[in-house]
Parts: sequence; C-alpha cells; structure tokens
Amino acid sequence: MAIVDMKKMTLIGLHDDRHRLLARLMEIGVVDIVDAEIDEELSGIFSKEINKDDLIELDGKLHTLETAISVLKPYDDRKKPIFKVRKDMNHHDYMGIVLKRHDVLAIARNINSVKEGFDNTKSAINRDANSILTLNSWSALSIPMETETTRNTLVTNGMVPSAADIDGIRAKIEEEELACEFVVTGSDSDQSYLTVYTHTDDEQSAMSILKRNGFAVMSFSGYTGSVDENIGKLRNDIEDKKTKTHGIEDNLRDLSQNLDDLEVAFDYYTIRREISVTEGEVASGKRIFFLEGWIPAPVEESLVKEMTEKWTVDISVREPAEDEEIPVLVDNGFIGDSVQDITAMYSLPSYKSVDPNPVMAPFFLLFFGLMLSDAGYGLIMAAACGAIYFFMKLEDTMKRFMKMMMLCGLATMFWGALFGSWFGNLIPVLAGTPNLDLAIWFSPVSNPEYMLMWSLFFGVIHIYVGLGLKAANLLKQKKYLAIIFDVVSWYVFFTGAVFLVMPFVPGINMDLAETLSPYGSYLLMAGGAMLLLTQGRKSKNIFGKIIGGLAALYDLIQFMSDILSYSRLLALGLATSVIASIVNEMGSMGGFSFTGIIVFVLVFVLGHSINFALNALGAYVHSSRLQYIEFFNKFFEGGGKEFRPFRRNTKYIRIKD
Amino acid sequence: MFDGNFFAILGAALAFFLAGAGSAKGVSIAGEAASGVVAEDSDKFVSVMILEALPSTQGIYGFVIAFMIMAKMTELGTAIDASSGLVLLIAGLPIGIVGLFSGIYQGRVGAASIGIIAKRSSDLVKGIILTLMVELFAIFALLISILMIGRV
Repeated sequence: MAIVDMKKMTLIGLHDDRHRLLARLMEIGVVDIVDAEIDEELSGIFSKEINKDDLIELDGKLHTLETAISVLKPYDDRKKPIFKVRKDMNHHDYMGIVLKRHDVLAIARNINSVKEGFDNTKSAINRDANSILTLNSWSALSIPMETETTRNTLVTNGMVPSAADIDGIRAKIEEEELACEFVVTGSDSDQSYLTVYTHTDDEQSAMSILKRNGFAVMSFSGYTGSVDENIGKLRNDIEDKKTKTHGIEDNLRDLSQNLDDLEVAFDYYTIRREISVTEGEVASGKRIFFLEGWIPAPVEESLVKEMTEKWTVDISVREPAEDEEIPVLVDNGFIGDSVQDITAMYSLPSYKSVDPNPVMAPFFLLFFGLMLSDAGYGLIMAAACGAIYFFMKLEDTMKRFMKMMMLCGLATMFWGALFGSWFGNLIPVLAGTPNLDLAIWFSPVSNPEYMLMWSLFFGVIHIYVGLGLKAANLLKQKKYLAIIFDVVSWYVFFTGAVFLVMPFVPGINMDLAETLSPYGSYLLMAGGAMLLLTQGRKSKNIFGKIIGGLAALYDLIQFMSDILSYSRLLALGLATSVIASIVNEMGSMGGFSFTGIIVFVLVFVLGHSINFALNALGAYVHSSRLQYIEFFNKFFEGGGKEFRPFRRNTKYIRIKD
Repeated sequence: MFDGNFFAILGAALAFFLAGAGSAKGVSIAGEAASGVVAEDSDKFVSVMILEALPSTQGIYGFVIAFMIMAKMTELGTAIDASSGLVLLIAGLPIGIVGLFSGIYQGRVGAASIGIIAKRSSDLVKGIILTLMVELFAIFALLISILMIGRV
C-alpha cells in the first residue's frame, strides 16, 4: 500500500449548517482541513469568523474541569489498566452526560472551591505551627503577653543577636544611671530574648543603648494571657483544623465518584473547542462557507456520497497540484505497519518518494533478532507481547509497538534456534554435557569469524536494497536516466569493491573469494568511470564536474565503513549469549541439591532478566540505528508532513456510534 | 611467576577493569545529567534512562572478552606457554583501552543528548543516534579482541 494517495476536496456549504457539518466531518475524521487563505478579491465576501468569546469561555470551562480532575486524582480508586487506554463509550451514554454538562461543571466548581478551602486550612495550620515555634522561645516570659505599660514603666520585649555583650549593656545602663532593668527570658544559638522594663522618662536613652547593640522589638499584638496559654490555644486550634482537613478529604473522596462524568465533560468541551477553532479556519461568507482539505483517495467516494445526500453542499475533489505540500499517511500490511513509528521517529517519508516501511520491516526485525539471538528470550518476548497485543485493549501506537515487539521476539527465536541458544547454554548445562551443540546452523560463540562474515554480508544486502529503493524513488519521480547514473553505477562500483576485499574477510570460502576477486578490479574501474563521468553532471563548469565525480569516488570509504558497521550484529549477539552462559554457569555452581536448586533459580531469574533487559534495549537502538544511518542514507527523502485529519482528539473516552 | 597463565589472567583483568571503569564513568556522567532532567520533569524518566544506559555496553564488552580469555585458558589446559599468554594479554587490550575512553566519551555525548531531551523530548532518536556514534569504536575493539583471541 505504502503512501496513501491524497486528493484535495473543496466543499461549499450553508452557513447555517456550518457547526453541525463540521461536527459530522469530525466524527468521520478523514479530512485534513487546510487553514483557509482568502484572496484579496474575495476578502469582501469571505472572512474567517474567529469567535474569541466562545473560545475564551470554552477554555475557562476546560480549565475548571481539568483542575477538578487533577484535584481528585489522588482519591481516584477506579481500576486502571496497565497501559493507558481511552474508555469506549456508546453515543447514548455520552449524550446522557452531555445533557447534564452544566451540573457537571457546577460539581467541578464545587470541587475546586472545596480544594481551595482545603489549601487555606493547610496554610493556616502552617502559620499556627510557626507561631508556636516563635512563642516557644518566650516560654519563660512570666507576665501576660499583652502587658506593655504600668503607671510609670514601659515593658518592651525584643531580641538581640547572641553575639551581643549582655553584661556590657547592663554595665552601660548602670553607668548612665538609667531607671531600666531587663531580664533574659531565653536564648538560642541565634539570639537572646530580653524583656526590658524602663521608667517612662528614661525610655529613649535606654532604648538607644539597646538598639546600638542590635535590639529588635518584638510585638505581641493580638495575644492575651501567658505564653503557655497561647501555645495551648494554638495547639488546640491546629487539632481542630486537622480534623477539618480530614473532613474535607473525606468529602473529596466522596466527590471522586464524579470523575467519570468530569472526564466525559472535559472531552465534550475539547471537541466543542476543536470545532470552534476550525470554524475560524474556514472561509465564511454571509450565507455560505467554504472549506478545503486533504482526503485519502480511498474514502473519496463514500465521503462525497454522504455529503451530497445528507447536506446541501457543493463538493468537488481534485488531484493534488505539483507545487502543493501534500500530507503523508502510510498504510501497510501487518508486518509493514509494525515499524512505521520507528520510521516516523526519524522523519515521515516525502509524499513523492516510496514508503520504506514494508521493505525496512523485515530488516529491522531480523537485525533485532540477530542482536538478541536467544530462542528462550525470544519465546518469552513473543508470548508476553503477543498476549498483550491480542488480549488487551490498547491505543493504536501502543498496539503497533506491541505487535513490533512480538514480531521482534519471533525473529529472536528464529535466530536463537539457528544458533542453538536457549537461555544461553542452559540445556547443555542442565544435561551436564557442556559440548552439546543445539545449533541448527552454527554457533557464533564457537565460530565468531564465520558469523562476522555473515554479518557483513547481511550489511551488503541491506545497503543494496537501500540503493534499490533509491531506484524506486527515482522511478516514482520519473527520472529514468538518473537510475542508471545514481544507482546502477553505484551497484557496479560497490560490487567491485566487495569482490576485491573478499579474500581479506575472515571466515570466508577462499575458493569463491579468489575466483571473484580478479573481477573486482574490472567492476571497480567500470563503476568508478561511470561515477566520475556522471556524478558531477549537475555542476555548470568543467571543474565542478570533475570535482563532483572525484568526490563521489570518496563515497567508497563511506560504503566500506557502513558495511563494517554491521559487525555490531555479531558483537551484540555474542554479548547476549556469552553473558547468558555466564549466568547459567554461576547458577549451576551450587550443584544438584536443595540449596543448589534455590540458588540456581534465583541466579537464573535475576541474571537472565538483567541480560535480557540490557540486550533488548541494545538490539532495539542498534537495529534502529542501522536503518537510520546505513539504510536511510542511501535513499530516504524525509520531511513529509503528517496527515492530521480533523477528528475527535479526546483524552479520556472514545465515542462509539 | 610470569608464566602464560599470569599473562592471560592479566589480559582478562585489564579487559574488564579498563572497559568497566570506562562504562562506570560514562554512565555516571550521563546519570548526573539525567537526574537533573528528571528533577525538573519526571515524565522524561524513560527517555533519559535509555540515554544513560547506552555507555554501559563497554563494560559488557569487557566482561565478554574477560570471559572469552578465561574460556580460552580452560581450553588450553593448565600450563600455558608464555607466548600464548602474552597474546591473550594483548588481545585483552583493545577492548580494555578503547572501552575505557569510548565509555567516558560516550557518557559525555549521552549527557549532552540528555540536554536535548530536557528541551524537546520528541528528539530522543536524534540523541540516541548521536550517542551511538561513539559506540561503533567500542564494537570494533570488541571484534578485534575476539579475533585476536581466536588466533591463539
């Protein structure tokens, strides 16, 4: 299937139908609506009606609902699936909640105000706790806190830094013969707490001495009675408030049963907002509106049929023009689809190129398998991911990922069986016959050089297929001559190079290598000559042409290093099986006894889990890398714009008709 | 004392301890950056964890080589002659030394790539590719070590 053909749809409908028609298009979800550009000559008739007030109101409601949902999140005791999936909901139930949406909004507002009360109480508790800390320093104050004056004296409380010379202050006061006395009520590592009694006449001079020593006045306004009484009061207060917060929490827990409704309302307003935004993107006139959008060619017929039968519209569909940026939608078979997210992480293919996914998929899966290459690991992976894929409800992306992992597991099993690796050398270790070879093909651990040769050979195939895809791209773009210049000549050139170096590859069949090697130089020269003559053809002057040709020859080095890069297939595969063997041998050290078996099981489970996790991650990233760097480099034309149909992008529910 | 066994064991030790040290350093460099990102946004944990784990492969390769050298010793029997022992010692060096440096440098690229994630988590793949570039040399070193062991 590959990249889906796109068509441009133009639809003119009645202004009165606009909202309902867009809602219906959203439900169908196949049109990528283009933000309208209104020509100058039409600007008198059409305009974009962006309803700001409506959007602001909807945003406000969405915010209220979102806040309420996040407030209730800690009290949510609904059963949650392992993989996040939107809940299916039939249209009737959905409409039921939509009809009472104003009640739901009122509940949300209530929840938010309850939460506000909760926060206020919490911060009041904090304030009280801080006050208690302050009062604790004054616990030795023997007079009522509100006492500030008697008939002739003033009472002042305050602090001096603990570095202040208290005896010095006292001496100074005595020296000046002031009617002033103070007691140190308490002290800690930072400051000392003083209560100062002065005669009203001497207040100013006494205070100036104190202030010179860093005295800061502490006011107890609002407090009455002794310090201990106040601390007790605050403690009681905190207890009361704590009881109150528990009450509020119980209340919120009760309110959390509204979560389902809140989520549905949130999605309802999301949909409303989306329609409202789109209404502002289409060109609207007095009586009619006008919209343009991309649709996949396969849905054209059914869409046009529904639109013309049920609505008063004028609809036309045309082929895309040369210079338009056409959105890309890929659609492949069971295997091809599984890796489309790997490609999309790199870039979407350009609309004018071929879709690499179906070709890439087998390579990705087989390379993953080669690097994990253990039938036991593959079996577990395929079984676990297969069970999730077939029996659990999943969102599309997760479903594709699980499918890919299941297929990767099967590929891993395939190679593991060929190489005779079942949880490393578990079976030979258990059977007590260390030299037992289970390999259907051969064991890379005992013959790494042979495996290296095959790894490089797989690399050559991969890169040749990549060049083939370049030819397919050129074919799609009808550049036939370029296929000869840019693909065939590389094939000849690279094949020559491969033949030439064959005798130096370890583990190779020498007869074959020596037969082919002499032809290598001819092919290399022929291919080189072709490249030299053609690769500079885009340059205007003769020097550019020569340099372009010479620079292309330098790509041979690139090609060689690309091929060597496939040696990672051997390296990562070996790492898995060697570590698996070490785990088995460590586990079997305890011998065949009760403790020995327990030790074996523990070491087996732990060791193989770690080995699997590390190497599966390695296989995944390295297999991706081989596609991105070595494979895509040869042909890939990225930069495609994703096909984003106008549809219900809900967060919590999927509405079924 | 300086017989074949000694050299071979020394080779296995060097292969692992240099490459393992490189990985430890590399993972720790990337890990510090990763913790910083997670502190800001814990949703990025999986992405940064993948990048943090990448420099751990050098240690695995060192482990593999150390094991293969010891397996070779078992195969050769009790008394290994000095020249075979020396070859095994030298065979341990490529993955040991390249593993040490590539582990550290890969960790640095990993930390920088974690910086990409901090800004745009959609660019995880680009970060992984950049970090994997360093890996190739450790893979070559592993291969050379394996091929050298095969020569004994």
